[in-house]
Amino acid sequence: MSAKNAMSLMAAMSGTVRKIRRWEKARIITAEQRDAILAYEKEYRGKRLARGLIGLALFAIGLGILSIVAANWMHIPGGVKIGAHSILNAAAATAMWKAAAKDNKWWREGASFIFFALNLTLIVLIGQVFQLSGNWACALSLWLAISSPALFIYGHTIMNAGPWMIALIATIFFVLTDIIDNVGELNSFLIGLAATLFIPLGFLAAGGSEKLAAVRPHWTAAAFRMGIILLIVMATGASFYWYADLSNELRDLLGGSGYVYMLLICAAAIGSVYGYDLLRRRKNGDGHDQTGVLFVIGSLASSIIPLVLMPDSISFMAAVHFIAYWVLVGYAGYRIGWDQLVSHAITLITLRIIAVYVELFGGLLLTGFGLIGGGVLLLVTVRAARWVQRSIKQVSYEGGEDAI
Amino acid sequence: MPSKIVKLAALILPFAVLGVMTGHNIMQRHGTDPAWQVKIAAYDPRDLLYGHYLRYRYEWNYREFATPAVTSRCLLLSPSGMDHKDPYVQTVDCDSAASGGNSVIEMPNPENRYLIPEEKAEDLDRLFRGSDHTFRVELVAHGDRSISTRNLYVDDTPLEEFLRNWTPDEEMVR
Repeated sequence: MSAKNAMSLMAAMSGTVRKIRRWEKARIITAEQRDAILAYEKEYRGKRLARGLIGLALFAIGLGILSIVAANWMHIPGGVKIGAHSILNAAAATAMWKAAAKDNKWWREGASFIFFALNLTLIVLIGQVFQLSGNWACALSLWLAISSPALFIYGHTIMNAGPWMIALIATIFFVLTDIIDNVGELNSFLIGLAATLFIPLGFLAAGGSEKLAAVRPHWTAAAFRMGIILLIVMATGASFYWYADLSNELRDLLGGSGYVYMLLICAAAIGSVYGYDLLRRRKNGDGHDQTGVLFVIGSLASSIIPLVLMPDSISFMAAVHFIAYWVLVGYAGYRIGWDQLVSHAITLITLRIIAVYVELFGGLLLTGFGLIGGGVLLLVTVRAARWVQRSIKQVSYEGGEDAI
Repeated sequence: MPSKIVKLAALILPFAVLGVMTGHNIMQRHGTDPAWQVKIAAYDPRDLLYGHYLRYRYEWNYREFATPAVTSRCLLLSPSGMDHKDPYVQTVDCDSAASGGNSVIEMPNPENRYLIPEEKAEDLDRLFRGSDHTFRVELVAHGDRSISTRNLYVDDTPLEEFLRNWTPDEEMVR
């Protein structure tokens, strides 16, 4: 088989092509439509590759400048270093201005990203030259405060929205770490819990903002994705609490009123989701899909269950928690048509079942029971999910409206 | 769409803020505020180098060892007879006014760091561990009780000058 044929075969095996061929076989689309879709996909993927490579190249340049600054090359006087760096910043700013004036999208995006990165490295350089004793929380807060307006105005796409969101999360992390260091253990725990629960919700709210979407659709999409990712990471991570013996540690920390404060924070997080949904329903009517709310509340619940129950170490529950949560993620992905999420859910559940197999290796008997238990749990969950789905459909049809 | 002025202002903002920050630091560094050279020692003998920072603590030349009052959050630095080197130090209330050639500064962090050039970092680290050299930092005491670090001295020689005339090999032979 020639290399060209092998490549064609690989391409033919790719998900999109297979899906389109299946649609053609099922006579959902015609041969002409198939060709048109494939031609479009080919062009889109080519652009995506180019964009990805450009993004990587710019990231490497930014990292390179940061490394040179960090090296603190002693042969160049501080003033010259700051001056030269400022000229680089000015060049990036000029490129942004000119590209925006000429409506040159990729130059504008690239220059915006570089300008954003250069502002950070200049702050670091000033700190080094003057031996300033500030910490990362100060540097990152200043960076975001002075760079965000330009980035929001000039950077329209994910190339800038994505790094900005990551920078925001890093800044929040360092600022919170700074605060937490000085407020005592209980307050640290409560602040950390509130931040963990509310930050993803903040991203989701920004992602759902229609006003923001009207001016910067890629920013809202990035915020939405970031919110989902944070929720999933948080809810999945919580399943590992079951391995730890939280009972004594948490009881000591929370005491009497601490536990109540913790419950109030959890209730406030879930209540805010419910309240947000209520407001949306009032505005848009009752017809919209509730999957999103189910997913968010499920994720929050998954994140807080081990904290609320304060269990002794029950390692088996870690697997149950993990699998149950990822069934919810897969279900949500299926309902909103996010195929990648469904694939990830299936893969992770499979891996987790294999992990259970490894964990339970006390003997083949236990392993066998563990695997059967995992399989039965999956079947029951799928069955339950189908039942729930059918019930919802029925209710929706009875209401004269297909909500799905 | 934002107006041209807003677009321009967004681009100028980082330059303005960082320019002011740089200017402020240049003024502080070259201003007339008194500067003191304070002896330093390794903060943690096992881990002196953090990135390319030397981590150190001050070796204050305390004049009295009386337990400071709870409200004492500041240090009074006064000349010890060696010009502004190794000043005498007393804990005082922050309301105390600095008089004559003295300075009152807020209690500095116990752990501090000084950025050193990458290519000399390990040699300097070795030097700092040894006891053959005296390391001092030059602190500028500002009117608002804050301090900034102006320079690092090795045996009374500014670091850059010391590094220009120093070859690590000689040190290792000794």
